[in-house]
Amino acid sequence: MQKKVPSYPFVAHPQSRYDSTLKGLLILGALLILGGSYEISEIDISLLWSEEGASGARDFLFGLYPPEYSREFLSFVIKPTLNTLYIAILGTLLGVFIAIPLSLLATSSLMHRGIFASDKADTALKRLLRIAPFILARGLLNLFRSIPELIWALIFVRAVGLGPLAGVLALGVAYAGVLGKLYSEILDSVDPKPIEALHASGATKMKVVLYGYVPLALPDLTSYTLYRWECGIRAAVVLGFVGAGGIGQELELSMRMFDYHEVATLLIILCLLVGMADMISGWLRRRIV
Amino acid sequence: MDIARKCPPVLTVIVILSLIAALSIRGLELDLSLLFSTDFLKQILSYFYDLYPPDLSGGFLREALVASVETLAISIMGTFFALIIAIVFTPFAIRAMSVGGGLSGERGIKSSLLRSAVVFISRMILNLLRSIPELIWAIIFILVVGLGPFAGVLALALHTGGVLGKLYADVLENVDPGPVESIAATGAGRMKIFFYGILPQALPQCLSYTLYRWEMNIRGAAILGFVGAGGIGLLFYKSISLFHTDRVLTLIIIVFIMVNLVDNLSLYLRKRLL
Amino acid sequence: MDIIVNNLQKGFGGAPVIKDVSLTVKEGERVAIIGPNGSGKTTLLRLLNLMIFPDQGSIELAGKKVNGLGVKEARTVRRGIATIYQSHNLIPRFKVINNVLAGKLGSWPTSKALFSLLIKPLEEAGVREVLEKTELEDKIYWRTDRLSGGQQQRVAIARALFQNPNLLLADEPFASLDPRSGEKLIRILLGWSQQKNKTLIVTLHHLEFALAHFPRIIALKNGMVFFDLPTGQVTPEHLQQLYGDSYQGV
Repeated sequence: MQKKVPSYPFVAHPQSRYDSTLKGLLILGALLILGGSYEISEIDISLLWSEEGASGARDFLFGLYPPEYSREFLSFVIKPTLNTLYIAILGTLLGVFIAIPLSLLATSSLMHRGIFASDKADTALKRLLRIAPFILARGLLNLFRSIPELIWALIFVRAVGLGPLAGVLALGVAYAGVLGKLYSEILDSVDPKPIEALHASGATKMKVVLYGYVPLALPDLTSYTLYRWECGIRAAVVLGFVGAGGIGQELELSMRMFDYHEVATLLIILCLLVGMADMISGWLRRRIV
Repeated sequence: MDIARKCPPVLTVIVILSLIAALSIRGLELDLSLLFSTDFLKQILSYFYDLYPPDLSGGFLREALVASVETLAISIMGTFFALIIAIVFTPFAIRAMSVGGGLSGERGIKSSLLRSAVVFISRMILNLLRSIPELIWAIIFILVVGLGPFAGVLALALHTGGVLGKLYADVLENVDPGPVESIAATGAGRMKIFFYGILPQALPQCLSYTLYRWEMNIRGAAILGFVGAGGIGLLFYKSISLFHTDRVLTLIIIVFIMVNLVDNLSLYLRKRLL
Repeated sequence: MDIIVNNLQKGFGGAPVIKDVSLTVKEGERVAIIGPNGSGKTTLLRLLNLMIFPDQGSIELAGKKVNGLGVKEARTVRRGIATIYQSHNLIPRFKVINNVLAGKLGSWPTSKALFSLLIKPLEEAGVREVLEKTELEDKIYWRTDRLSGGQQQRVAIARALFQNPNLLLADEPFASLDPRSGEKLIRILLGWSQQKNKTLIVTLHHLEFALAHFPRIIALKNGMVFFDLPTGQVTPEHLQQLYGDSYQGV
């Protein structure tokens, strides 16, 4: 005899009226949202082919050639290029530093679930106090992550003045949010058996983290951090647009001066920088995993 | 491979990282003593302190809400057009589907050379689209279509189109070949093999990636306004430049809520898909 | 469909997998192909359904030479050949009906195929008929991955029958099933062949199946035909030589 497998409500009776009505409503809703978005974002495809649009595009594209390659300009852009690299490195490192403590607090299996949960029936207040740091850390990480790095940069430029420091801080805060969330997810999903064994041998929480969680999760943690550094390069370029220095600032200046030859050179440098970061981090990640 | 090679000693890593950090700090000419001076800390803290209370006056709130709806619309349309760009390019970027690919059934060196060339060029175009950040695309498109949200839509569409095209191509190339062969064995042609054998295997993963990119694009759309490409970014730029610190907090709250709504909606949809 | 294969050779870069195979199968015959792993059984089937083409030798199907056919002609020939795979190779997310309908893709125009997939499955009656034979009629609108392994293999068989082929190839179709389910499925295939007088070629791992159900057995070893005999003439010595030390007796 066969096992009886429970059927899917939606699939078992595909022609049921309920199903088709729901489907219709969903499609209608999606179309409405798309249509509304189309209206609101003032889309006018014909602009792309209009006289002005085409000439604007032509001016830009033809203006790019030839890229500016005078010795003067090239030696000038070395520093901003390096600065972008530095900002990405320091920003990511800062992000890691902020993310480590917050992610430990935001890991539920370390805080109030699993082996570290006490069996004693605590009072409601006590339980709340134990969960509070977890909720606080999660909220903070979420806030860091939700606000785009460019907005953080704009805020930090106001707070600490123009320059690379604002860029480093902005990147650090934004990436602390992203990395912290990832770290806590990775820590939450490590194999619980070795952890339990350590705990059973009487290790303190700190030791369980150092000898259990960290070695188990390290390859994933490093791999994601490297990937973020790769994204950080691209982000660091953009941060220059609001005055955080680096190659982005030069790009913005050249664009504003309509010096497209310089823009072309800077774009090429950008692509090379991004490609190089891709390769380095890809190579390192392959070695780790 | 031994573990020691895979996992260099912690001390070495820390030393190397410290050296890199020191080099970066020198290169940027950062004054670290500044970071630990009380004045400096006070300055930062007072800046954040001044953000409170948020500006909740009706006029500004309305303006901000209109801008956030526009941001949402830009992110949706940007992702939608990116989807179209990706769908157009992906078939050429996959070896099996591209000109003279395995599924077209043509054999011979000539068609395989042509195929490699087409795949290479398509992948290069996708890489170019992907490498240039959306903000730079936005500035370029403002030159073409003028200020406003449309430039923002195009900017998101091109950057995201490059990202999605690459992701789709990777997913489609890695489907289980078994069902594909079993469809081909019935005598089906290239299109039918694609729709009955390849696409249904890859679709959930592709949709999931698309939703995930939408989450990224809501953040992207929030900053496009900095360069005049529509959305809530312009308000941010204005408020910060004009020292309307109370408005900055309002905007932060709105962006926070909006981003979280989109994240959770997309997470819910992605969980249902897989 | 009559099959005539002469001096077939096929390799994938390295040493040839099929070294020299010649055989003739008459219309309506039921043949089991046996042989140790790596003897070239799967490759032979893929040559017969034109998924790959031989390096040397010729294949004649229904009196027509098929190696060296163009893309379009090869597709036309494939329409008349149904193949069942060891790992059933269905789309897990499709409803059963769509997986069965895929059998007709060779003869459907693309527009019809897309309509059936996206709007409403066509030819439901025909699908019900084959699913009745494989006792899955009540699962017609189920998602395929909700079915058990044996049920999924029955869907694959239903697809092959739905294709209404002149030649049915099956590559170790019961390898992942328990013997009882395998027994049941093999009867479906044999019954179909007998009733319609269509050719059936099955590669088999289970020797008992081959000996119990098929009138003719072809053994492959190292890419060559080791023996090709009516089942009654196959002796334990034959099998001992075929499988070497790993042979345990039936």
